[in-house]
Amino acid sequence: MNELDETLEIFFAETEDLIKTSEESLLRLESAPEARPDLEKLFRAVHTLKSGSAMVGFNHISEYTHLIENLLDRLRDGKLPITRHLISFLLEGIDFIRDMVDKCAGGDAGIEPAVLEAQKAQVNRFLGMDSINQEDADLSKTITDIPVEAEKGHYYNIDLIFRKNLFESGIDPLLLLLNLKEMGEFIEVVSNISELPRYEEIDIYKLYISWRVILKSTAPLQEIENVFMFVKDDNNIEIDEITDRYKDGIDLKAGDMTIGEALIEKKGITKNDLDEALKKQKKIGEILVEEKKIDKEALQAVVTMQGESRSAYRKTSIRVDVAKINYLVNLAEEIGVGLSRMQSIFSDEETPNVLLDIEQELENLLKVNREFQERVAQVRMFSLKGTFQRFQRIARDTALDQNKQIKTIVSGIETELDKEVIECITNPLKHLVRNCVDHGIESPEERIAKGKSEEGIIELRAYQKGGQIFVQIGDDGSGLNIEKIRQRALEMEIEVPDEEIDNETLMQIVCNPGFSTSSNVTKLSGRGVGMDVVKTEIEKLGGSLKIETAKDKGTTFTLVLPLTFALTEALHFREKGRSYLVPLWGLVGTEKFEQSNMRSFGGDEKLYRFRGNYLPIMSLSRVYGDEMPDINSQKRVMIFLDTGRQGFGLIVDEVLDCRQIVVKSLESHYRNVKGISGATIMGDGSVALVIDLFDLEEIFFNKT
Amino acid sequence: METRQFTVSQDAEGTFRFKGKVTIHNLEYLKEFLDASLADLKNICLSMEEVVYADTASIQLLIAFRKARSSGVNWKITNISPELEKILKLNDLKKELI
Repeated sequence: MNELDETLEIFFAETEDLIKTSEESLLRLESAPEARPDLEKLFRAVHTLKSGSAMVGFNHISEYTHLIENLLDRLRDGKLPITRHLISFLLEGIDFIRDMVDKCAGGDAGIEPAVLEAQKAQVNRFLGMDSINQEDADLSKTITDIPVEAEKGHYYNIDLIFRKNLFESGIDPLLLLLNLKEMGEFIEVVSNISELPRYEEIDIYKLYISWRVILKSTAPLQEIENVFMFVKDDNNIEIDEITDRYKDGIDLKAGDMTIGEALIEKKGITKNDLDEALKKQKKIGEILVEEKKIDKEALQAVVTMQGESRSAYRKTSIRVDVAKINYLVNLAEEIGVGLSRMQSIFSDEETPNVLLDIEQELENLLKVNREFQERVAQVRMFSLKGTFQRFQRIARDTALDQNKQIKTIVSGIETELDKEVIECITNPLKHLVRNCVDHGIESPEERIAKGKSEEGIIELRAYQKGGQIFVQIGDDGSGLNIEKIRQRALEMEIEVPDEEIDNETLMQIVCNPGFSTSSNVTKLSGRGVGMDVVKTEIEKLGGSLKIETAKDKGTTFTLVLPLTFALTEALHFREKGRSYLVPLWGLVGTEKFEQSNMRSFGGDEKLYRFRGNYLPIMSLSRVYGDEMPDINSQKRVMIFLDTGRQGFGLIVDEVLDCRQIVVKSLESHYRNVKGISGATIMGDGSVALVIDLFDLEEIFFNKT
Repeated sequence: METRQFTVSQDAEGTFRFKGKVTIHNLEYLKEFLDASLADLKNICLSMEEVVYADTASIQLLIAFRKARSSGVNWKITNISPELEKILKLNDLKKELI
């Protein structure tokens, strides 16, 4: 990969994050417009987007982002109120940036100039406004009605291209910039280092940097020229007054011009410069077609192939957390140390127990290598954070489109999945999110009539249970209309049982190709395509899709995906000489066992007082059918757990520490054991069993 | 020979701490330092906390040096002094240097 490719790869990866951050901040701002940190975060993301795109030469992205940045600056200064309209406009702006970036990533750097200019003009119109009436539905009318007033002071465009040997005359451009700054306010200052040679070739006493400044000042042109009195003659200094089209630092007319016209108008470039640039703009393929070196079809085929290859390349690259890499480096070092120890065992003839030493070292190396392999695979694991954020946006847009009100609740965003699995499930999940808002959530009026809050709830949840990852998308809407589904199924000649339709049968029915009960086809869903595709996609990954629905309570779709392994935080404890780990998410607290806190009921039913409540207490002995241990022993410890449905205490011998573990499935080595989700190899090489909290709950509370 | 207006020391964490005025008068010293001490490093961390002034020639040299580092080199400038911050804002070179 050459340096440019690497820079581009970093740019694309960073841009993806920045766009996500922007979207996330905007959605938070919408619910809490006074949230200053979110506005700052958004501003920083957009600012970085602007400079990043300029750095890699995607000037159209940088130009547009610059305008958005100016708009955000107005929000920061309190000159524009944050309204739902404005948030929608900015979200669309972010979408437009994403489109441009995607086009660049696909190898298509060009965007229709007319489209870009129209988008820019829209931002400029917003910038021309001093306030937006949030209740005003006809936004465009409001915008055009606002008169543009001339601001006090002059605006100057100043180009500073110095001769290379400027330093010899003892002048530093920095001082000129300082003097210029004293004349007013810098609306914009842009340095240009494109002339800077390679480090090896640089003449350190020569100047290679040039600048362009937009200055707002009350001083007349003559005074501005005076700043450059001593350098004017033998340097290229151009000062132009551009007051008539500036307001708050924004060129109001630029939006209606093509970029070339705007540049000429500003005299940043000459007509010749533009013509030359336009000539260069001609694509190589077009030239070759014109010269009959290739035909159009062949060109198109290559362009398509190139685009596919680039986007595939983009898809295959990943950004990895430094902590993960550091872990790998440490493990690699451990392998290195182990190997050199082996070497010294072989070379030292006097070692008494060569075989024993080698055996020990080899065992250690194998253990490290095993962990190394697992950690390498871990590099591909990503949290669902970004995916869920995207869904929040989809839910919001869908709801707005249908005049519905929703609140999105997200949990388990830290759950990690393989990058490819995330990519594969994103589209099916997107469909489910839309379905929930579109078909599930009722209109505010309907909800009120049903005695519900007018705001519907969309819940996105992810968690790990046993050797599987669960991703749930649910709503608190009307639930699926079973009778309608039955009727439609009969019409489509789908087999339907006469008795009550259970969830599994329901799933089979709605996943029939072309199945839809919706008489109201919206632009989002209801076209009868989707559920079958969703199911197929998930099954391709070895997963399954479940549905739970209740009239007027809502519908929940659950994706169950197999877990090859996963990194989990867990608490290490010992019981009867065995090592166990319990996932930290279910841990409420631990404390030393106190006989006085325990109450007995009936046979061996026991309750224990914890934080003011009595919780049932259990022992792992029940999992294995052993006798309840001697709970009178003073040396025991209580672990309090909560699965979300049931809280309980676990009485154990000893609580050790919290640690990050890689859960390995037991099934592949032994067999499925109820209550145990997997095992992990501890630092000392011993095996510890990982408790499955849901199973445990089932064993304790359903068996009794 | 000009008097040296700035010094560079390395702290326990390996960070090179610049102190004083970094100007064209000590440009060769700066280049020597870059070539001798930083050229082969994979992790470069410079602290500018105590830099009270840096002129265009010095900043330009640092930028050229930074640009010549391959992407495998981790380049970090920490703790920019308020004075330097102002300079880099004025000449719009922060994005190139950091």
